[in-house]
Formats: sequence, structure tokens, C-alpha cells
Amino acid sequence: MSDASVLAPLTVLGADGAPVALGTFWADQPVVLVWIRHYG
Amino acid sequence: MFCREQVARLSPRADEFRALGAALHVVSNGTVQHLNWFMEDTEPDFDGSWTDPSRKSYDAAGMLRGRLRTLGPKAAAQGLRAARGGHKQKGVKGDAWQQGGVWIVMPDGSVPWTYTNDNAGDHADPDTILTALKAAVA
Repeated sequence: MSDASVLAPLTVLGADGAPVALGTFWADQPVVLVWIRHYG
Repeated sequence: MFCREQVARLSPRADEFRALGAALHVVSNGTVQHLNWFMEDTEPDFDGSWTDPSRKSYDAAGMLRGRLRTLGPKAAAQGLRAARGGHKQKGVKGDAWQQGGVWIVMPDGSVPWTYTNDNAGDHADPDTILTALKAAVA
């Protein structure tokens, strides 16, 4: 695995329900992106 | 309970990630209502808390999914650890069989380190993530 291009266009939803592209997270700084199992 | 354990271990370390110039974002897969409930219940100190009900990002990142990964003997043993730590599960708000993981992504899109959870109780130790991040930003 060498790049995050597969993730960059995918979107996640914020608390307001608005979609945000994952690629915006690392546009300006490194990011630690953690996927957890579920909210329970 | 595992998600709560993971959040409880990561959230107090958020400033250590920021000190290295990185942001800490956490993604789950419930509904937006689940996301808001969890944030109010746990008040995590993350730079972003998000949800991906489609689980497309999980699939793209190669995260594992399976009933035995959630209910198998490894997860059961680690469930005792989480329970002893006081992490109580409050229902299933998302895909019960989906496992998680971690990617460190640099501004150029490179991915110097990843961790893919093997089962429900398996997640990267914050110290391990911080060590990988230090190496990535050095």
C-alpha cells in the first residue's frame, strides 16, 4: 500500500449529516485515521 | 464495549498526536444519530468524529468483516479484558461484524503505516501508533 488515493474521494458524515471527503483530512497535515467497529 | 475501550485509550492521547503535527480523526459506521449519541456519551477529544454508514471506506481500506471476528474465541477473551476495564457496551449501533483499523496518511497521500484489526477486541495500541507517527514525520 503506497497511497491513499483509494480513500480520498470517499465521504463520511459529520454530526450535522453533511458529507465530507476523506481526502480533506490530510490535505494540510498528517492524519491518524481510525476506523472503530461501531458506536455502541 | 471494544469501541468504547478504544476511544477511551485514544482520546486522552490526542494532544500527543497534535504535538507531532497530526490530526486524529475517528470513523464508525452507525447512523448520524448514533454518532451524535456516542459523542455526547463519551465526549472524545478527537479532531473529527465521523460515520460511514455505507462502510465504503472500510472496504477501500481493507478492513476485515465477519461473524467469527466479532464472536470468536479471541474476541471473547479480549471482551473480558475490556469488561474488567469498565468498558460497557450500550447496544450495537452500526454493523456488528465490521472490524476497524488505523491508517497514517501524509499530506502527499502516502500511507507510511497501517493496522488492520483482526477481531473485535484487537486494536492498535496508542503507543504503537505514536511510534509509527514519529517515524513518519521525522
